[in-house]
Amino acid sequence: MRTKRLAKVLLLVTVFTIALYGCGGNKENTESKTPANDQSLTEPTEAAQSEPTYGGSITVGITQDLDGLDPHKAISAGTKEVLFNIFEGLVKLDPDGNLVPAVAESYQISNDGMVYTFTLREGVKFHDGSPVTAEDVVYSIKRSAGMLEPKDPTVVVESALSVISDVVATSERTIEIRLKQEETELLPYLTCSIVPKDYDKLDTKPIGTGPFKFVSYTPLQSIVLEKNDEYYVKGVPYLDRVTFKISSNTDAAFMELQAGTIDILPYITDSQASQLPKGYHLEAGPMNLIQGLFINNKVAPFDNKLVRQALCHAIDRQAVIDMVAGGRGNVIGTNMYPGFKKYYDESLVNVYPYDPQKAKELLKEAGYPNGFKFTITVPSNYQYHIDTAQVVVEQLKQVGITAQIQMIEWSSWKSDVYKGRNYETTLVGLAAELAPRKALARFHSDAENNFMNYFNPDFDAIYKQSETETVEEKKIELYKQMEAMLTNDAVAVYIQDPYQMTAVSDKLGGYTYYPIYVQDMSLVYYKKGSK
Amino acid sequence: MKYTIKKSITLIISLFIASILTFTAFQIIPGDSALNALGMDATEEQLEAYREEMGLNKSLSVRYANWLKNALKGDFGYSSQYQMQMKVSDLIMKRLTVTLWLALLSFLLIVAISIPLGILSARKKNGILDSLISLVTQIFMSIPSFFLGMIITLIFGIILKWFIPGGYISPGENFGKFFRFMIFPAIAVAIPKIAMMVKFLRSSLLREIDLDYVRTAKSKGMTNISILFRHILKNALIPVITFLAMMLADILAGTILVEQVFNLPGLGRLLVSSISNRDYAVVQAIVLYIVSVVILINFLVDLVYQWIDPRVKRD
Repeated sequence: MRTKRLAKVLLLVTVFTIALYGCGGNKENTESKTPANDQSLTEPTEAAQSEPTYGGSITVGITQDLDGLDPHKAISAGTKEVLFNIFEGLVKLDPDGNLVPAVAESYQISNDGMVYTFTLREGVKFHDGSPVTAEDVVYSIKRSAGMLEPKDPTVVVESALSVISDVVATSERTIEIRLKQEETELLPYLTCSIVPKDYDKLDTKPIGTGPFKFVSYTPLQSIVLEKNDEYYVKGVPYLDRVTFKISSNTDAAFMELQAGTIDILPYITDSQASQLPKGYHLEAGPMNLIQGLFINNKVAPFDNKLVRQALCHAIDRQAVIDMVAGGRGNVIGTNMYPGFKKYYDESLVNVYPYDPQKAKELLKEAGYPNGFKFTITVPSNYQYHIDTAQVVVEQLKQVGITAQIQMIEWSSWKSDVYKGRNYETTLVGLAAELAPRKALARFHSDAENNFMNYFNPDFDAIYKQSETETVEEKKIELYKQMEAMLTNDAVAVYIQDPYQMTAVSDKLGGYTYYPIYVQDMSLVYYKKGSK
Repeated sequence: MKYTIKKSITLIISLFIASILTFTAFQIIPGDSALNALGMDATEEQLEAYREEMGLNKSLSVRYANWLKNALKGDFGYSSQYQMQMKVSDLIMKRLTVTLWLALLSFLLIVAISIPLGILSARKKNGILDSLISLVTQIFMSIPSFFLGMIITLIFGIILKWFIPGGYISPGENFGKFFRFMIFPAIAVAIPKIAMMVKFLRSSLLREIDLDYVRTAKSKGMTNISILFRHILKNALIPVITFLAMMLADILAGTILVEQVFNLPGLGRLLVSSISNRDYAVVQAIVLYIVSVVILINFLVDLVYQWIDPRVKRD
């Protein structure tokens, strides 16, 4: 009798789950009608109006374990965006992409661009209570630049700092960075973390100057931070405690969000965004990523500019964004991070409008009247890029080009495609770096990361000129010239700057997007009356 | 004795071959571990210096010899995904507790549930209860553990709120809470195995029931129950033990997927993240561990066999 009842219960459970599963499917199909989507757009302004309160603790979901706690050793973007809360440099990036003084109070660049002088802010303390001295700063910059002896091979040397010939403390509160050659874009790299001199426990007990102090870290589980009461910026942070919880993947993390144990979950997918549980809203902002179909300019038929231009005309970028991301993305036209607005030439978006007829004519002119076949290599762990590639393949069929998607493991992509340059085309996104020039540096003929095999002496000449240009307006002018060159040469098919979506609890406000990967928790607060 | 020695020699040879295969397999898969450790835009000199430092540019046989020498001492080097700051052996030891607990709990569940159910099913052969058990086992046998894990999270975690999804608590912190959480992934691992086990035990028992000795016992006047427990079960258990042992190896492998679903910081998650980060040292150590466990279990089963059934020795 008992077993019978058990069997009945089990049967019921099975039926129930199947029914539930069905419901889940429905939700996805009616995505555009769910009210969650519409609310999301109005939410940020509402959040700004509600009054912040102090105190409270939150849990943020991340889906990648940290690759270390030492800021000079970590490479993964997922680690850096967490460590941003603990460490700071002489200067620091703000949400608009401007560099603002942090540990330094002010700086001066000599007229010849060879000496940078920094005055340290008074009263900045490390998390252990000791004051930040000029010696600590000298040590940190030297460590980051790989200038310390003996060399620690696990420190990831920031190659942009290799122009530094020496760093000296000229007084208790001033330091001088002397350069080997003129360098006008060094400042973004002086965001490198300031750490206590000769402190050897950075790997296990990191100490910085940021708004949050490190409490504990358990691999594959979580990293816990607490408020730095002595932070030099008055009024922040609001929260007492932040836990970054490490989940095995986005699906597992989303389940925890549904169960209410995660308050903020960044990088959710489009279908997750449409299934947000009650009590959460969506915040979306541009990722500052250059997503494109990148072309190996050296292999046939892509060594012919006309063929590349034909590809550009054959791909309807707005349609791609509508298909893969429900319209959440901005069309781009060149190789510059759109988040750095000063440097990004927006007019280049219109150089190659969607025009399949024009594409066919160009193909005929290039000697491929019946189209051709090629492969698009896509890293298999990036579903977003795979989806994009699928839409691109369909669009190319319209002009008689047969593209085939080849999925490749991420590690193999790095060694075969990026380093080995052994590919025809690849669809990925280039993540923003600190300095805008980095976006252009890879097209220099000698650049080691010139994976598109772009060789143009004119480009090289302008690039050289831009390296030493100290007048900002002129530099921007040169950058825009280079951007136009890349677009006109159709070095790649630039598609879009996708939006990243974050699920945020309705109780919280102040979640802010940055042009680089950063989860700034110092601005997040509980809204009044929500606790 | 001879039998044991023979089996021990086989054990050592198997372990040795397994270690060679594990090591070489991870040397020939594509992907550059120096590139992974230093980032995409590392220069050629930096990469070369790293390879030099980590001994990556020595020949395969030299690297194998070094690795084996250290591995025998329990030293598997440092993990590259944690920027060489963590010892592989420490990483594994910490994760191992979670995985072993999960395996143990599910194993206990399997034994505790499947044996009574199997016996019940065999005794009521072709009755309503038996058909019901067959039906349910048939269904659960075909559902993979990780999928069951998702369903369990949905029903018991999100709807009924009996546990907090992803809310793993380490046993050192609070054993009661740890146990309450672990029971759910253990159920997910156990259910398909229970189903298999019930089916297996049932057919094994039914095979024995038709044999001559059972008829003899019956004519001797023994009750059905005492025949079942004193004679049939003993004989029927031999294939069941093999099956259980195979299952134990399977459970250890099966926990890998279930750990992903329940977000448990076990060996499986470490393995998956190490593979995607090309953290050879860790992957090799874990694979070697799993292989060794399987080989050892087989060895023990061989020994247990001859202990239960001395006839095995002579074959």
